[in-house]
Amino acid sequence: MLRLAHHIGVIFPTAVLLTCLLTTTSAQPRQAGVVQPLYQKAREAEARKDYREAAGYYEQILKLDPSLHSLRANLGLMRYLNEEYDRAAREFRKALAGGANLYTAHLFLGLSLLEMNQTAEAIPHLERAARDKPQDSTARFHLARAYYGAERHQDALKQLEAVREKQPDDAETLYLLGRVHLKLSLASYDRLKQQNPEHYRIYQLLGENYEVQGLHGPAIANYRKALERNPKAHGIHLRLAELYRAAGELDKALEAYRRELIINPTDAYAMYKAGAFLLDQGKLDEAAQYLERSVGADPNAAPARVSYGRCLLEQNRLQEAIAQLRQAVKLDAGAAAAWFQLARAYQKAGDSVAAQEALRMYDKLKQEN
Amino acid sequence: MKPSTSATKTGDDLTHYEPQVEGERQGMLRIPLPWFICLAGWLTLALMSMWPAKALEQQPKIYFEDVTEKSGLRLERITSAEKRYLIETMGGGVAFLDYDRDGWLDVYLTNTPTVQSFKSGRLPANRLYRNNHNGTFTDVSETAGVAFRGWSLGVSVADYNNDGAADLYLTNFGPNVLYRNNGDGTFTDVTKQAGVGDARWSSSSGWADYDGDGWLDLFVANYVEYDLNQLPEYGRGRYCLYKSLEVLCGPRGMKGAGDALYHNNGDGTFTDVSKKAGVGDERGHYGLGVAWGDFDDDGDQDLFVANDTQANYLYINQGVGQGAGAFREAGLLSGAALDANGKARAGMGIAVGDYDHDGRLDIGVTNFSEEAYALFRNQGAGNFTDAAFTAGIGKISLAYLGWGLFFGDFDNDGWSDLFAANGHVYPQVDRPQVDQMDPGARYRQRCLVFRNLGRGNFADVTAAAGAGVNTPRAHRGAALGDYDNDGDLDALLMDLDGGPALLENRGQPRGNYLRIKAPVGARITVEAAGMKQVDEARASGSYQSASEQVAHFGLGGAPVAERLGVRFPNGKTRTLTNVKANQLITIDKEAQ
Repeated sequence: MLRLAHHIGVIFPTAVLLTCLLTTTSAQPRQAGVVQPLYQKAREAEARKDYREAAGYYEQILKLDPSLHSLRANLGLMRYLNEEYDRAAREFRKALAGGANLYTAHLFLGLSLLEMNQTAEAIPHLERAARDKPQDSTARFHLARAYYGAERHQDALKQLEAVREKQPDDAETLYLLGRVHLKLSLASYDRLKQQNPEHYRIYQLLGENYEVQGLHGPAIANYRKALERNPKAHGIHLRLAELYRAAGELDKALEAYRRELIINPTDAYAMYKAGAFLLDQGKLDEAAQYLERSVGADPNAAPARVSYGRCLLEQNRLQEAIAQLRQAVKLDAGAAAAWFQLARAYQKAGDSVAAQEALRMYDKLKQEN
Repeated sequence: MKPSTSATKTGDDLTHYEPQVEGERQGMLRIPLPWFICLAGWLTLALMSMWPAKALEQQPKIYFEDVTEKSGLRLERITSAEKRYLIETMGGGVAFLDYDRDGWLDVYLTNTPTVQSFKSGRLPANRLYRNNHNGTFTDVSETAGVAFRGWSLGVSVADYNNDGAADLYLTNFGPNVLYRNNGDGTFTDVTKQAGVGDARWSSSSGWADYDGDGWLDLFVANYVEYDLNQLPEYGRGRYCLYKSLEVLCGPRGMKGAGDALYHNNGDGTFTDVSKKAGVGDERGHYGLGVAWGDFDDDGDQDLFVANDTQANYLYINQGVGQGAGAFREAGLLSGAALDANGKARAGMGIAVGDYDHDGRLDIGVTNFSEEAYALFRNQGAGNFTDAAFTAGIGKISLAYLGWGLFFGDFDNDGWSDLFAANGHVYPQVDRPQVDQMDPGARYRQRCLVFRNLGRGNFADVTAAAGAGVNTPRAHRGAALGDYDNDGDLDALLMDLDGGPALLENRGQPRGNYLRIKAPVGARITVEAAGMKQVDEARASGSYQSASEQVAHFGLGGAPVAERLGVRFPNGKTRTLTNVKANQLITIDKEAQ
């Protein structure tokens, strides 16, 4: 587990932290006349990324003046960068004992311990760093790594969500977030399986898992098993219908939609999906019935209104179509499909000015996307 | 096989009518008969016309026999098994044309190399085959001077210089070529002087007299900008995956090449008026199919362009004589640009015809697998609705990736049937790791044949339509024509990896027919057996291919057409009455 954590996000913080640490801990040696040349050589070695040599200069300084705790933190960082994690941890601990910069020392001590798979020891230091600088995503991210290693998935999730708010597209954060969710999902699945190995939800979950992976055959098999165990389970026939539809097995899809609505007759979404399917098959009258009921059950669902509007348009019920589609664009002005259908409805109704205006909106949205 | 102008199937003694010509008399119909024979004929006609088209549902069988081997048609091809590049999977075309004016359809085939062979200078040649009048063909490519060697994808046929001989236009990757027919069995490459050597990657081309000046103009659909020296790496990148498979890249992610309209100046030269006419494709959509037709019934030729993965174009001609800027793009609002949900599909080939006898030209379009073909029913007033599913072709076509497409009345029952040539672009779909629920996506696919039931819907009759139709191939181009002059429509297909396939119509029983040869763009209306059919003489459509320029009408059991109306591109009209069935009528330009 910790080896996995080792691979996560090491690159992410290093450059930032290096700059941060060297900036914030740049010591001003008291015995400037003796120490300054050594310090200068240490910085030059750092610039060359010769961390071993830099560490040697810092050690010489600290022999001259052991009270330079900030420079001991620098020494710890050189050890860390040279992948000498045990020696780094030792120096960070000494620096902290001497009162060095708390945030950076705690953070890098935590990171050094993480690298040595000493997760439990790392966590308090990373928590401290995160507490000291709550706005800094770096400490939070590594704390999440530590929590993940310690299988404290809910705690990891909390930290990662905070990081994601600030850095929504960071690949390492998203990757770890995915891993955490997967772990939570598997944990729920394992618990469910222990409690009731034949529960329909197990097969439903497996079906959903296969469906997400695009493995439609196994997904259908597991959904069917779920329905064998609970024939009245809501939503599973609907999933089957969508899979059959994608596979071009339209008769089976229609049957599955109908079965869903037998056991789940007031579900607006199921009615919408069934209606949209029938509409695509050109079965306008039946589609209109489902879509009208769907819109009635959930008046704020723009997609259902778009489909109903399209259905009315194809039935040549133009004014009704326009009314539905206008409502759809009011509910979701960013729905390009709604503007497209509205443009067609206006055009068919002979209002070319309104048609062009709706078409302009459609074009604009398409270009934006 | 018998010539189309010979006797009827229902007996000569009962079908000799003198046609009553309104306006000028049509030259080919000139046999007067005694009135009593006429009366007897009318009685027979009345009985025969009671054979309603809908009653044919159980009767005629659409059936094609694969006669490729016997015909001698073949093409030496260079192909790649993996199709690692987009350009290796897009061609080629076929054409039915009567280049030597002997009354029998000849065949032209385009040819494509691979990237590797192209770079090494190994280029296969296009072929022209002369019809020997006995079901066989002779390769005359070299003597005719049309054995083009290059990357030749499509072909169109038109008499661009009004000398009565069929000329050839090749759409290539690289400069296109115009071959002028010299009238003596040979052709001359006149591309340079004509100014139509579009150097982009061209796909399909089509001809029509859009401005009514009596000269055929040329539209070229171009695909993408493509550089053989900077080819995208197979399977690498966002647009190089199909489902989970690594495949060739494109066309998504590539820049569209823009289309071209060349105005015929009448002196052997053309002027590029693409931009002025508003059909230059400034949006850069990936053009593949071209079809001209009077889609808004106003007497001039409009233009439909099938675009790959992007909205199709419907260019409405603003009126003969307006010249520059004559077209208005109306695809999106018309309903013929996208699917009914507003999603673009991979438009490939185009069929044009009035399949539901409402007097308006409908448009069929082949698309990618899992998209279904489109059948845009013309509702009038510039509106189309995709009737593919209600008409019974949507569901079955979901599993197929279509290319060549045409309407044709294969059983001569008076209702246009539909023929589609299919084949996938990715050979990789045959690998077993493709999702097992994939709805039948295989690289080689059979054709689909739909019989028009006369109620606005079709029946899939593919399975019974013969082995030639059901042979899985990587079909691309497809054309329609009566190559054996027996009064029914045969099909010519191109297999990307194999070469041509000639399918002879052997369906029985068949109804009577009338075949009209008229200037391109002429609107022809035939009334017979209580049905009114409409079609146009055209030199465009399908995919990279050219069907014969004859409007073919099945008449069912009717021995005569009560009325034959022709509206010429210049607006003049002509009407014939009581036209005997089972003949080819030529209405030439002098008659306009």
